[in-house]
Formats: sequence, C-alpha cells, structure tokens
Amino acid sequence: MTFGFKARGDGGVVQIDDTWATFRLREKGSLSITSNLNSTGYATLASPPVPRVAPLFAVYTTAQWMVAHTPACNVTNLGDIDLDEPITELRVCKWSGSGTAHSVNWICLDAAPVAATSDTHGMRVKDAAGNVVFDSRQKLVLLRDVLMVGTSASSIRTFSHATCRGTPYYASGLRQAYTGVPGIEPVLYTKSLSASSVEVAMLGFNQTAWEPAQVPLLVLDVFD
Amino acid sequence: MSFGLRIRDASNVLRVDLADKVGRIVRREVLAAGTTGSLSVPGFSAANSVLFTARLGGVAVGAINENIGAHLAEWASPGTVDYWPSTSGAADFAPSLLLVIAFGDT
Repeated sequence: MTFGFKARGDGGVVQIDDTWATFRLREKGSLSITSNLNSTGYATLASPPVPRVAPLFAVYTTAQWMVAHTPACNVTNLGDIDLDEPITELRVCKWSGSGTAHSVNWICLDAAPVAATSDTHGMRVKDAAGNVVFDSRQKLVLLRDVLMVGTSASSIRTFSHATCRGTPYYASGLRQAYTGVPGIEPVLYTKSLSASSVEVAMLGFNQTAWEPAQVPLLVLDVFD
Repeated sequence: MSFGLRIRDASNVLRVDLADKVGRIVRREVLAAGTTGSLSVPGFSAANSVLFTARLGGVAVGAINENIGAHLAEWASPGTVDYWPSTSGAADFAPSLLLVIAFGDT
C-alpha cells in the first residue's frame, strides 16, 4: 500500500491508522446491585444493536469493588452463540456490601460504527473499503493504561500514563480458573478512586495457583 | 519536538492529545466452547497490545462462581496467540470473545 493515513504520537506509537477500527462508546447505563459475589446485579439492554463486532463492557463505580463479567446472549445452547445475535444482558458482580444497594455505571464499547454527533469540528478516517475506522465526533474511548494485576488482596494503582480527561471505566479479561477450586471467574474487581487511580481487588488471591499469573486491567478514558 | 494528533471539538474540548493512546482492534474471534487453538496476529505481541477474553453468556447465567469453563489466552510468541478452555472442574463450557487490542505498536 502506498497511500493511507497513520498518526503516531509521542514515542512513535501508532494512535490511529486507516486499517484498524478504534473503540467507540455504543451504549451506557447504570444499575443498582444489592447482593454481592454469588448473586448478581444485571442490566437488560434496552435495544441491543445487531450485529456487534467487538463488544467490550466496562464499569465505573466509586461505591464498592465491582466487575462486569458476562455479556449474555439469548441462547440456551452453549455451543451456539453468535455475536450476530443481540447481547441482551450484562452481568455485574460486586465484592462486598451485601444487603445495601450500590450503583454502578456500565458502558458497552464496540468497533462498529455508531452515530456521530452533529459537531462540525473533528476528524474522520476511513479504511480502504470506505468504512469509518475513526471519527472524533463519535464518543471516543482512549486507552489510558493497561495495568497487570496479580495475586494481592487489594491495592491502589496509579495510572502510568496521565490523568483521565473523561470518565475512567475499567474492563478486565477473565481469569477463569485456579487449581483446587473449579470454575471461578472473573475476579478482578475495581473501585474508582480518582481520575488517575483505582483500587483493585482480586477474588481468591490467596489460592495456591492462578492461571494465568496476572490479568490485564484496561483503564479506559471515556467521553461519555 | 512532539508528535501526534491534537483533535478538538467545536467547543474546543481536547478529544485526542499528542500522547494519547487509542486502542485499535486488530483481531476479533469468537472461540467455540471448549476449543483449543492458535491465532496468527502478525506484527503484534505482548509488547504492544493486550489480550481480552470474555465469556459469552451461558445456561442460567447468574452466580459468578458457576461451573462453566470459558477460555484463557496468552501470547505464545510474537505474532501468535494460544487459547484453551479453562478445564479445572468445569461442568460445561462456554464460547468466548477474544480481542487483540493494539496500543503500543510503532
């Protein structure tokens, strides 16, 4: 390819190019959770768009450690889940405070195009097929940091890369299992402290063997 | 000298700054329940991207400790991602969404 667009930021890191889609904010909402851990609070998505390309859920709460853990499709067969079906529910768990209602804000990100605002300023990038891969008039999601979290009861982590200008949301990949106790997942809970720090807690931190040893925590800076 | 984009909206609010990292989705797969395998993601590695897996639903999804195995994933080597089902005592398996999100490539 001889033409196209690629922007590099400080340090030479690619920020935006004309090949790969960036995350955009697709939906957001809030819910209240009363029971903790083994019981769940969950949101039923009002108008789930179809298809979804790369749905990623994240949460923001200052109330308790919480985690978004399972987007649920409308299926009954585990072997037959397709992202072309709507994802109808989102499950969120909290660490403690059972019996008291705590609120949590959630967002769904996706690489699929979403409606742009009517703003008359900004920048838009298309790929070779004409698909919009970046549009500053959509609600942007910056990746503020990736924190690797291992086996500790709880800790306060400060972002290594600047302060969030929008709202900090957190998403963690699953840590599905550890030796001795089957099926535990995911267990990286977060509680937002400020625009530049978060408190994390790992369920089962005292078990003898995790798989894998660390889980990445995505710190998302969202203009919601 | 600094490099990068600085994008503002009509209200002069800074949306993208010179040193901001913008996650780009360079691979997306739906992993079938209970499967093991590898994916080729040329040009990317643990040094410049992050793997994200999420279990996609399940029968009677509810409790966080329900006994359904999804997928774990890690970089086997630069350009190659291995994935496998969590099998520790799982009574059933669920599909997973695997995303490779680039944020540090040059």
